[in-house]
Amino acid sequence: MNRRNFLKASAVSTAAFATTTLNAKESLSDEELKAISPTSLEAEFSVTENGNLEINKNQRLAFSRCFGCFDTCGVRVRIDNKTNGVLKVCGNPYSPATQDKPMDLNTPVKEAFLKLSAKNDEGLTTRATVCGRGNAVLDAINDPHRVTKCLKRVGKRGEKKWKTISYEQLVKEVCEGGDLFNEGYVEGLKDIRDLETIANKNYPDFGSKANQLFVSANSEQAARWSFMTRFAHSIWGTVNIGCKDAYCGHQQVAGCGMGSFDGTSEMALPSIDYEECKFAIFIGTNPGLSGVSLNAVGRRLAKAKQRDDFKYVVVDPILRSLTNEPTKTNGEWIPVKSGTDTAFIFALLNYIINNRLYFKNYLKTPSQEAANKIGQKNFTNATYLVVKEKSHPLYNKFLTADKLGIGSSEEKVVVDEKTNNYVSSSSKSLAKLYVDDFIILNDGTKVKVVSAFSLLKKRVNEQTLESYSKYCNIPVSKIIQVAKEFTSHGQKVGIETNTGCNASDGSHFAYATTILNSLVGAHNAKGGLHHMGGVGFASMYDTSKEPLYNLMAFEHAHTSGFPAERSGDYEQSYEYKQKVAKGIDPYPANEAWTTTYTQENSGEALIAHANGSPFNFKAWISWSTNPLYNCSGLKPQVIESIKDVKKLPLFIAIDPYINETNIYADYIIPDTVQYEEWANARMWGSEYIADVACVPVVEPKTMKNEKNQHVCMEQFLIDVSKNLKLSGLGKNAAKDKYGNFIDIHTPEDYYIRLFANVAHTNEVLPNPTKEDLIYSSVHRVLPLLNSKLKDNEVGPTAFMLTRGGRYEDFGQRYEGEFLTSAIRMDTQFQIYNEGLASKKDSYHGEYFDGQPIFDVDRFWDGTRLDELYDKKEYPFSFSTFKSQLRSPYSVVLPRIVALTPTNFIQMNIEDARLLGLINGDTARVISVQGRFIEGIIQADNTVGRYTIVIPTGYGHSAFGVDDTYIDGKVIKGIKQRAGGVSVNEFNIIDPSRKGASLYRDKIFGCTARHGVPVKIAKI
Amino acid sequence: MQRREIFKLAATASTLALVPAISAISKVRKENKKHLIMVIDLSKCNGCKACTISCGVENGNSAYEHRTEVHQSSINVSNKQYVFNFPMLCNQCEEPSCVSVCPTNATYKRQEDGIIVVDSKTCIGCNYCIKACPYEGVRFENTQTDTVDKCNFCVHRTSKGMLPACVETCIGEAREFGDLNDRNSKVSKLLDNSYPMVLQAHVGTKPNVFYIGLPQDKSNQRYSLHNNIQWQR
Repeated sequence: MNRRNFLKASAVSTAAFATTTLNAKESLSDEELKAISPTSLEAEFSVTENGNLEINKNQRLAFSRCFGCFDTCGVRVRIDNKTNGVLKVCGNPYSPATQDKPMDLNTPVKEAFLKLSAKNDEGLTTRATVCGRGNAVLDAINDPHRVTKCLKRVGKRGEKKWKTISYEQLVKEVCEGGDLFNEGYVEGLKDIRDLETIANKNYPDFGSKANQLFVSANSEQAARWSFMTRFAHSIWGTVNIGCKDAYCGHQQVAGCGMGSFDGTSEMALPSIDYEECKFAIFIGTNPGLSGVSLNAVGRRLAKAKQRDDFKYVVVDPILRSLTNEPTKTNGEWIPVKSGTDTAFIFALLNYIINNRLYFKNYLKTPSQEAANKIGQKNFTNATYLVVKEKSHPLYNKFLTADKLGIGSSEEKVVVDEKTNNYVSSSSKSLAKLYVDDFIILNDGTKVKVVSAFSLLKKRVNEQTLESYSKYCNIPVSKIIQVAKEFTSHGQKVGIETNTGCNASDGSHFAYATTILNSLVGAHNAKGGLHHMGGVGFASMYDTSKEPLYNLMAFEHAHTSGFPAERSGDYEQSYEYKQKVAKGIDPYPANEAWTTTYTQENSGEALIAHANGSPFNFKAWISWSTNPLYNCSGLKPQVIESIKDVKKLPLFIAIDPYINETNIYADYIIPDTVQYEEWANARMWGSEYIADVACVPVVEPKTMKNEKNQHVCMEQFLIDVSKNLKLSGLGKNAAKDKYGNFIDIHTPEDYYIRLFANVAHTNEVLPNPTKEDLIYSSVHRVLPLLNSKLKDNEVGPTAFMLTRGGRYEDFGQRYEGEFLTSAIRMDTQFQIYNEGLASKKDSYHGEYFDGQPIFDVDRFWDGTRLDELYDKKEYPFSFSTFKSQLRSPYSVVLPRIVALTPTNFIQMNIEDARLLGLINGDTARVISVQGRFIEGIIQADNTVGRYTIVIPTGYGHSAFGVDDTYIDGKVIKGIKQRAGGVSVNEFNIIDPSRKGASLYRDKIFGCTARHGVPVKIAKI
Repeated sequence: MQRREIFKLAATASTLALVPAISAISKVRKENKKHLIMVIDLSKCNGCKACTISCGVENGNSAYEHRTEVHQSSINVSNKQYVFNFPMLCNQCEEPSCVSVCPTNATYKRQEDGIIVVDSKTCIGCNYCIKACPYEGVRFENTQTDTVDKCNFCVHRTSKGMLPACVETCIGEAREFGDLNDRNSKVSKLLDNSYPMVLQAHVGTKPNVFYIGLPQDKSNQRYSLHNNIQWQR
């Protein structure tokens, strides 16, 4: 009824106003329901009076994987049975990433859904949730700017003009080449794939021409990433593969790895055991607000905060929701200046070591037997003796037992605590922590030996507490308070980090935090640290090779040469050998090398391309990634070399969207988005070894090719391989365990076999019931499973899909005072990393120190950053963070943009006042070399001093911000998507690196982005 | 009630005595009927806004029109800064200001569960209820239907034994929901074991949304659900 009709009908407008009599309506018919909820969905289930679950025939449920961010949680998807469209998404009750404790896999699916209902309030304790992004991401499917057809550029690169092209024509053009754009001849993939000819004879150690294909891809796509790298590495044969890990947070993961294993190529990233922890320090991480499953960890932290005996501090340049008013007695925010985190850690180490607050006996155990004797699960190398005699071949390495005739060369040497004798590190007794002495070896040489722990003490005393405090801007009293609290709860403490401490010493920082955890024995302890978070089946088992199908059983291409990003041993390079032969000092290397691990850094690969060293790439395939937007400081360094068709003749993108990187592509192949994908991945934030695994639960929106197959990344690679007649895809692409060939003509040919492997790994899953199949909609894929698998393989595979994945239940969480072995990482924690001390940096050719170093930020050649600029002119330190609603691609989601229209330049109110800036002013944040980004100031007391903080994910210039032309028709731009400012447009530029360059981590060469000096000026 | 009188009542509200949530609860309990309430434990809310989006998708609202929102701000306690996350929605009051002013009886409180709903077929969009409600922004005009919209505790779900969309997706388990008159329900036990606040208790609307961990002075303030989102963490 509209207003006019009503006024006509009633005499006086106020007549019906009177009392609060309530309208007595007893029953609720469907029509009445529609009247009071006109735009709402229908409920997917109802619970009958006798407590039974009844399906709404208009909807079905299926389990899938969210890709709103890189936690890749398992989700439950409600689908409209008429339109087959996605209606709504929430969490999968069986997923370890959408609640703190997943449902038992044996729970029938119908019962699982019943437990999510209001019946007996069960759904209040069994909530399988998704975050804001997870709720919003269904809109990605129908976004008007989504790429669903094959596109070829019209005009120059980046002009936003495209035409549709048939899939078959696209495959033909990119494979065969030709004068594709009226710009001259372009070599096709068939000619680029030459594994014999050296790409550049001036760089013979950088491999064949086939290496001139660069593939940038998304590592968090897990099994899909493996499909892509299987093609790039094993089928095509290029060593130039990149992803975002090294410009994201790999130096922290590798840094924690250095504190957990010997060497530099391991990974670790522990998280707090929230159930029993008494005191946690969060630094460079915001559990429950960004990565590490915002979902599951948000739950765990919320529950932990209810305990009076749980306290925590959050060390961060900006205040975030972790410490909230109602739980103010639990948590505290400690503001820190961005990029100075290592100083804080060293201050804690300094205080704890000098005041002997560490767990003495734990550190004194030299072996597993000694650890067992004192009731511990792990041990460290704190007591091991390091040779500090410069002339000795073991200088800066551990003294080996054979040199004293007390053991083999595999064993090291410690000093027994009781006898003061030098004994083998296999000793079952406690050893001395502090040793600094001279010793005569069996061959008569006299060497100085110092224990790892003595070296550590010396290291952390290189500066005073006051000095560290001044550097990070945290008062000495606060440092002491935290150190005391951290050492007052036995092993029920931990310090957790993530990618947030990303200055040029991110690796040192992470290594130091791991040592801090080792000082109190927090690793693997009840209430301490859990190291097995986010581990999937592919990390623990060889799921691509066994037990049923060996998807790698084909003739692999022979790759050769260093990757262009220069990960590898510089001293094995042609450049080094030539210099030595000519009597020239081989150091510094002409370009920065990463000698410690393989970065796979898309940013550094593009830098190498921009410098033409070792060569320009002839072709670039970019899938599901956006380095020009996401890699700090990259775009200005490389954009010209990407736009230039002479430097980069062929640029192929595969993506559901036109992003800031592939906007310059020559061709775009449409790709699937979540719910349309074949997905199998680990889930970050899961505490179990777990995988999400799902088939497409809705039909992809991508176009179909002539064979009636949906175009996607996998289909494209399959058809390119067939065109180029490569092994590994197409006919006889791989083998089953009996040695029979299997063909891979479509994505399902590959993934169904992979899923079968996962379902049969370790414990073979059971068969699902008919009801399970119906409630999870898996009955719809049974015919497909039957056509690709052997009869006895179908059941377990289908079961896995009826649960949306699987996890290894470890039963009891604890084993006495430790986590159960299934979720422990039993390793020897490193106080001194010998493997690190055996690697050299590529500028000075000096060995790295085996322990973390606190130092100012430096460039590749060791020059201090602050020699390049005046601290008074650039008094601020730049920091970024991941907001809880935005992620790399979430700008396409209207509900996200509505809630996060813009970001701000966030700064401390006192800093603003001193500069005459107020809230709402438009200002520029300016880097030392003059690049700037512009935004609106938000100044208050929730940002630390001397720091400027801006969240990531804003300030887009693609994803449909502007009008896009396809076949001459415009798709109107959505201006709201441009809101805010992009933080990666600038970074400090390293003058010691010639040509295009990125600012690097000192040990791992990863792209550093925090603590960068900036100034701010009002416009 | 005349429009002028509605605003007069609000202006004199501050002189009325604070009515604790408890007395409102005891009256409801005497009636012994199914009575749905929400209890929000602010200590568990991390401001993720999954609820806002979940509600929007479930109830078909446009991206810019929200039935529930979570406001974030910073708060200074003993010279330390903390965040204050504050979810807001229709309070499904016992003594609703909105129902009495509706000229067509489009909005009413359901007998079977206490949810206040709006019948979109009889709502004429006069917006008197929006003006009468002391909780600014919880009622708004839906631009798709041109009728008044607000949280109705997902009656299309809760009448079928399912949970509201916001509750299902609440990451911290901050939003609890259920029948106050079921002594075994979680919300019943929560209210028995804590002293929750309601918003603007002095106005006398007797809300059915209870907050645990809400400082009393903050509970007396007037908020608007639809103010500009300026601060997010």
